[in-house]
Amino acid sequence: MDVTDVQRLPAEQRFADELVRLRDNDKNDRPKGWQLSPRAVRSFVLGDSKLDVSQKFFGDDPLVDRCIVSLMGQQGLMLVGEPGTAKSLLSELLSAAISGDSNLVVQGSAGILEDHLRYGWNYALLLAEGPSERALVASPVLTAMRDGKVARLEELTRCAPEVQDAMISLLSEKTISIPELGPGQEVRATPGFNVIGTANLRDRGVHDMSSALKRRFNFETVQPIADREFEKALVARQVAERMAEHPRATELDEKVVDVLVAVFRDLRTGTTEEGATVATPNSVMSTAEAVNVAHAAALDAYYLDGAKTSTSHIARQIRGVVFKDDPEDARRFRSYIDQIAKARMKRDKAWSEFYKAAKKDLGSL
Amino acid sequence: MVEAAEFESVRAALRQTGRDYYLAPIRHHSPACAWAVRELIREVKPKQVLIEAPVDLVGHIDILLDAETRPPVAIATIVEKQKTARLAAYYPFCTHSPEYVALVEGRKQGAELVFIDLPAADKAMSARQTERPSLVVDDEAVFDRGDYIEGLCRELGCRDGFELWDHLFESRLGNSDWQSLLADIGAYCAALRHATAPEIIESSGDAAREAHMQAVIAEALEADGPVVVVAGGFHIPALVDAGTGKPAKRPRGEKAVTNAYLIRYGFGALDALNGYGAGLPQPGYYDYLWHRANAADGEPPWRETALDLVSEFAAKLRALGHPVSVPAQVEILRAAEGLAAMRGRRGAGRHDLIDAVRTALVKGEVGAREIWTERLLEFLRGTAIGDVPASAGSPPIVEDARLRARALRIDVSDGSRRRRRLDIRRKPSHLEASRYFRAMTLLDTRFAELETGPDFLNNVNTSRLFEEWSFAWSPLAEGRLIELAVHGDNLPDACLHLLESRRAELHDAGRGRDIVAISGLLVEGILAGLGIRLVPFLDSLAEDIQANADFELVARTLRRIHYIAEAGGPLRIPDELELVSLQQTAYGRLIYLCDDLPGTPEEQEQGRMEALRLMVELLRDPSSDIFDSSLFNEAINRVADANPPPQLLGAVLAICVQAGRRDVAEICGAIAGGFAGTVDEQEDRIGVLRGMLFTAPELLWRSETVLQVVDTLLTGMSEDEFLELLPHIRLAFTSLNPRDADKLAGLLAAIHGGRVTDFSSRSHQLTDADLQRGIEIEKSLRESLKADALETWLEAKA
Repeated sequence: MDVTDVQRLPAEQRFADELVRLRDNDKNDRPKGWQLSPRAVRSFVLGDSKLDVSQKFFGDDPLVDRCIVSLMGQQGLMLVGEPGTAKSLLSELLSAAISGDSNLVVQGSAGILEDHLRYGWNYALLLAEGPSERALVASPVLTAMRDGKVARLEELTRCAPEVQDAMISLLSEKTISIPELGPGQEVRATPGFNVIGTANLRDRGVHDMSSALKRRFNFETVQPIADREFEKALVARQVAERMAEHPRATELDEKVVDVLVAVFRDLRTGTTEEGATVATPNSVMSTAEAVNVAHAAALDAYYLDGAKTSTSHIARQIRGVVFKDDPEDARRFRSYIDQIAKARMKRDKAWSEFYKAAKKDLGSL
Repeated sequence: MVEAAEFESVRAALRQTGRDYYLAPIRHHSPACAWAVRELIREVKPKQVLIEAPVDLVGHIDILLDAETRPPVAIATIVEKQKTARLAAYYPFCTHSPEYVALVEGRKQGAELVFIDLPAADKAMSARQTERPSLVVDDEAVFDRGDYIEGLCRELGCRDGFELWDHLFESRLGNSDWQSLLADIGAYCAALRHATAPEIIESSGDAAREAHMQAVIAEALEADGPVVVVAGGFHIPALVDAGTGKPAKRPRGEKAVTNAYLIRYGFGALDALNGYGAGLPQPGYYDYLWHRANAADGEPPWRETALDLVSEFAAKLRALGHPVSVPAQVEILRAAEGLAAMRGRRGAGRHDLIDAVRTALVKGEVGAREIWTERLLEFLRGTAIGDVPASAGSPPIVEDARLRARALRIDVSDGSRRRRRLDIRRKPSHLEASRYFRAMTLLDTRFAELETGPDFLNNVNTSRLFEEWSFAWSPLAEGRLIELAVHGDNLPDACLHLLESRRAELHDAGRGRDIVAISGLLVEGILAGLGIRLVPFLDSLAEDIQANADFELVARTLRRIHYIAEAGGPLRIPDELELVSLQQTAYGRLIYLCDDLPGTPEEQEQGRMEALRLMVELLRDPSSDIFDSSLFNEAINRVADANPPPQLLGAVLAICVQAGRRDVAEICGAIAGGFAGTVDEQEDRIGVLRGMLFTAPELLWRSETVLQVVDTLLTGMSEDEFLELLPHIRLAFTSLNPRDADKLAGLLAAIHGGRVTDFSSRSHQLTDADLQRGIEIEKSLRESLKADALETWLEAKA
């Protein structure tokens, strides 16, 4: 298979040349088991113009520092925050830089069993040979322990509480015993082993984390992007990437992105740029959701309307994509439309179209 | 590079041994600078120490160095110009301030101590303080902003100018090589200055100040050396050549009287100013470093210092009921040292500690402001308050209160009680005096007492033209003002602070949703003449309104704000104070809350009915065109469809009919439906009617159909039913005023034939015999009650 045909390569392959440059120029001490020194890891994530290393994570440099230092210690690192704040990306970048391997991932879900965190068996071999090293199927966590690498646990709060409990002993003992292979058989974590978890503490349908588990992690909250212009650029870029499959659709107008990002920021922060306060909805008003809205609006405009994407398409999509099932949120959105969007109608056509379409969508004008 | 050479030349020029001239570039409240300054003075043993501070404050040096003075203290300067007085600035001194250390060490060496900046009253000294007076002279903003700082931060991985400063310089506190520390600061500041446009240096008043400093330095160099200059790093490049060119003449300061007071100052107040670029934040932390360095007589032992800080922080938190476990403390320390190592520092600095606490103690998702960090910042801020000798004089707010009184011809020269009658509606000067009295009353000084006059807060006698006050200056009033000195340097500032803290008290007492009370504070603020200063208070009021979920309270608050906005006389607001957006906020919130009306619980029904009537009246008022009434009508229209309780249904339908959104037939249908339908309580049968009568009684005579329907229903009842319902019907019709009742009676009479008097006169024809009989019945009733020992019933009724 041609590699370029893969949808997405892991970070250590995408940025292989940068990692090499960083390693070659790395003069600082490396913690045991680490591929790079902490300072070089920082450069990999936050960029280094001298070595032509690109910046990959934006908005909170001290957070990256804290993450790296956390991983040098005994505690695991837990990244939390709204969906769409690049938690997984950060986790991937850190493990790629520290271990040179970002593939030791357990994707959390209700279907995860303790075995997925420890080890399983190749049953054909198990029946044929009995328990042996060869028949053992190591979990990503076990592999990371053995090789001194960073294991990643995505969406940990989606796992059942008993699976989360299994993590407690893994993180405190840093060993996995394998009684099937004989008494005293165990894998002890070699230097360099640590765990990066990501979790969503806000969604409904996730499990709470026990405080015993919380104590074993250092928490870092990844915040939504603070810089308005940067958020606009990011939305435009991501929508363009998604719309690449539909080459004949036109690009998003800057005005449209402007209105979209303004609406999302107002509702996310609870304060408009004019300083008026608005009720914030329970729904997640993340940048990722803004991209989803813009994407849906662009598809709507291109395939159903045959027109250029306008703010009225945004208005039509926003309720379906964001305010899915909460009547309170619909109410908050209506008051936003009535009081904030209406006042901005005078400003320009984009806002006026947005207001009219949203009002129509809400069913009364 | 030319620039690099330029910076190097500043570095070299800091020690001009040939001229016996030494310069120490400093940053305010930097212990590293303080250490170097002390070493410099010890080494050079100067005859004169020149310090960047207003030349006219030189008289305060002795009291600053008094044995009883214990920093942090500050010199507060008040400038009087053309009969107005204002607080010009604070000049704070901590134990670890380079200026203070220079004074102490200079005196020890027997040097002459000189202040070299322009007089405090000079306008160049306040050029940067346009927005907020009463701040420390702000010449440090350059340390935190600008392309040079941002570039260096990026390069060194620091988040802001503060971290950069600590990283580069504060980490060298107590280092024996203090000379190169000063040289590096000199070069750094030269670069900062290079990145600042000359126009800015001119317009910010720096150029004028530096000219003055140069002249004083030139005089000093001529007089007697060695000379040591301690000045803000930013100015140093302009001072290295002082005394070499043609003899500069000392520019004359502006003619103004300056009063200065040495006052107790606190780390809290000092830290509050940090946002304005006055020195380093969290002075408690730097004070701690300074003492550790002194104890070690050299570099503070970074590891032990961090360890001690962490365990003291943990002990303090434990005392507050937030214990931090030992493993967590270990993790804080480990993370702090790890961060410091990764960032290439000697030991964990302030930012490393802050980050480490966040790493180790936060468990869960947090916002940008987070409680553990806040606690640490509070800990690092420190709580120390200085002390001044008794001879230091009184603080600015006392002066402010006295000066204002004098300007208003209110005699405060002695303690006798006087009276004053004020014509508040016609004489502006009397209104000013009233505001002064109200402000002093608001501040709880017990200075003045209102004997008669309008009460705007409770809407009593608001049309009165005169106020009568009695007042007397007392030590009590003065004591209260001194107490308030920390909250502001003048009456309005202190009033504003008081309003804010009252609002906070309401919140703390669980009355944060009582926005009617909070808007009452607004009334008090306006009466005290705060005017435009109330803007921040308006913002917080807007937040409270936005967070309020009570339809009735929001409506009452909206009415009150609207009343203020339209008011004349003492309650009149200045043109610059804009209440429109606040009203819009309240209005918007009210419309949002309209959707709660359908689910109104019984006990809130009456209140909400009244609120609805308030709104109808408000929107009918010609001054209410700032509100988009269509939004209200639309929201009410939604309510009508959502099956509200009968009374509310009547009210909202009536509003809809009035607004032309619904047909009269609908309300008729609802009234008839209520009558015919099944009900729990008899009174509910006329609920819709009652609601309509409450908000829009005029529908009854404006529309014949409505009257017809009501009439038919009432006349169609049986006698028994009618009697049972009669009390409720009477209650419903009490919302008509007498004129409306007469009008209605006329219409009814026309329908049923005859004249109004035919119905009304009949019931009042009593004869003397009737009266006599009535008296007899009452008498026997009284006796019967008395016989049953129930005479208290009669008293209670009376």
